Amino acid sequence: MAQAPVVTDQYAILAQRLQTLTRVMTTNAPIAQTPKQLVWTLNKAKLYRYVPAASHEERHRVPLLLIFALMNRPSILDLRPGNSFVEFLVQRGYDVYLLDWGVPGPEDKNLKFDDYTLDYLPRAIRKVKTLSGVEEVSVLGWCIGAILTTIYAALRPDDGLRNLILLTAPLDFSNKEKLTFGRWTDEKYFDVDKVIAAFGNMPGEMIDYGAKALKPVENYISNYLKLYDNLDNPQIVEAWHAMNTWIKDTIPMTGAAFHQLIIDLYRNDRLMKGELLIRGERVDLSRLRANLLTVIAEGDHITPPCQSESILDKVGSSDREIFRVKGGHIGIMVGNAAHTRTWPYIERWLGARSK
Amino acid sequence: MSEAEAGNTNQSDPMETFREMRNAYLDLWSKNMIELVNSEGYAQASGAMLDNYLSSLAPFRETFEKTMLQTLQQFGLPTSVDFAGLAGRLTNIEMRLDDMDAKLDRIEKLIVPSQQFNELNAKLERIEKLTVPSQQFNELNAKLERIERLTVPSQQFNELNTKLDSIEKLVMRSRSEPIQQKTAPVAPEAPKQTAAAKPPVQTAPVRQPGGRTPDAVQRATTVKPTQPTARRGAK
Repeated sequence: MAQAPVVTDQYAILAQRLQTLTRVMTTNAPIAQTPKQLVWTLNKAKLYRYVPAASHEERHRVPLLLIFALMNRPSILDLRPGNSFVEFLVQRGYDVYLLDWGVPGPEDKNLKFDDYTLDYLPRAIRKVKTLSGVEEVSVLGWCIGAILTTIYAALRPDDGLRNLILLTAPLDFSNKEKLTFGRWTDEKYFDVDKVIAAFGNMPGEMIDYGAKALKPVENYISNYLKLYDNLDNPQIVEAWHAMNTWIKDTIPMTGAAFHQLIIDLYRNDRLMKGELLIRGERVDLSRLRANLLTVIAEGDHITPPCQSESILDKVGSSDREIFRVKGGHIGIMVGNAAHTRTWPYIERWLGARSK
Repeated sequence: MSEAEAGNTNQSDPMETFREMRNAYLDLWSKNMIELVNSEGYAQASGAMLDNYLSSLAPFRETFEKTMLQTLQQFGLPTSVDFAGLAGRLTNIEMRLDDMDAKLDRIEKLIVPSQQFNELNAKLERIEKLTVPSQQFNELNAKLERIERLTVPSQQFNELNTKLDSIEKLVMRSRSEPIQQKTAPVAPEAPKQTAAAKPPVQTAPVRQPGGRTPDAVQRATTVKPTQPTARRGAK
């Protein structure tokens, strides 16, 4: 007779777990909640300004512009309240702006790095300067966003860029042995023209598959088992839910930009060699003079550390620094290490250079 | 449930051993898979798969695109190429608008000083009005005029003048008729007429136009009309 309630309880727990699992797998978590306002648009790109938490007198003088990759949403920078890099910076008195590249349509397939770095970025930065009333600006670029900001900083060194922070920046493509993406996209196996001719833009699902396939067991199996094991822990479930909402919201990369990424960078390493041409203008990294902080994730499978280290030897900045963090490509900015190490370090570095 | 409670639940979970074994197996599997996807063989295989997929897709895609293009052209409808061109033009217009917006911002910044000047000027005018309020000025002016009238009342002046004239006549008569006694009744008036040190005998013959003595003329000219005029001018 004593067995009956136990069995009932077990069923109730199981039902509750299934309900949680269904909710997490089929719904989107509320992400990117920090209050912001749209201040500028160009084609699909949108520039947001976060509502400052500090008064004008208490704020850091130099505004900060965040630039994420082309093939994912930038909401990873503002994942959820209490776990948001944007919120962290706003609360510490920074005037924070975010450039969202938007979702390119078939009509945007010809957009190249040239357009992003010479049409979109300079105008967005100009708007930031106008709105903040300051002629200097700090820029944080992450992943492909770091490539774009580096190219821009080298091409337009007199545009008022004071501080440049590069997160997991894939800039050096010389070490072919360590680049799994490089191996997959080698000209022997991968016909980039054929792919672009077929799809126009590089589909987000394919890019997502490529990123996940670097660690297939973790991404396709362990990740879900971790959720299942912790279905009774609301903190872990909600964090997982928010992260999954961001991961599955992939966006395509414009065909021309993807072509440049493969041909100019992965195959020929033109940026580091000083051979990259943007609208006929050679990108000379020695012209980059902004204060530079490069953040490297030691466990990064997408951008191995060797891709971000050598930039320091190439730039003309007198103030340059490398900061290494344990963690993965995304984990360094949203995991536990983010709160305790990455964010405070970036904030201190930037704070000292934003007066 | 707190993290500590969650930890206790896990410890008492009979599946814990199974989980540990499972995780160990997954770790091993993961390492092997990472090595596998990093190999040339995997790159070659995945490249071949993608190539086959694209090659098999290409004829259908090309046929579909040609058919779609012909159909749209027959109906006079815009194609995807037309839309792409239009989108490009719109983006160019957006960029030009953005540049114009930035130029306007710069112009606005330049205009601001003159606007500030106008504001400053208006403020000064307001201050000026407050400093010399016209009503107060008018009241002050009226008061001054009243004081002026009180200082030299014309009636008194006229009376005085008449008295002086009569005294003068008496003096003249006494000179022409040598009767000394007749001058006696007007003696108290003499000090008024001659003022301080001048004896009546010296002043009497010097006649001024209008029949006044020099002293009377002097008083009339210095007191009466000049003071108010001078005050008004000062204001």
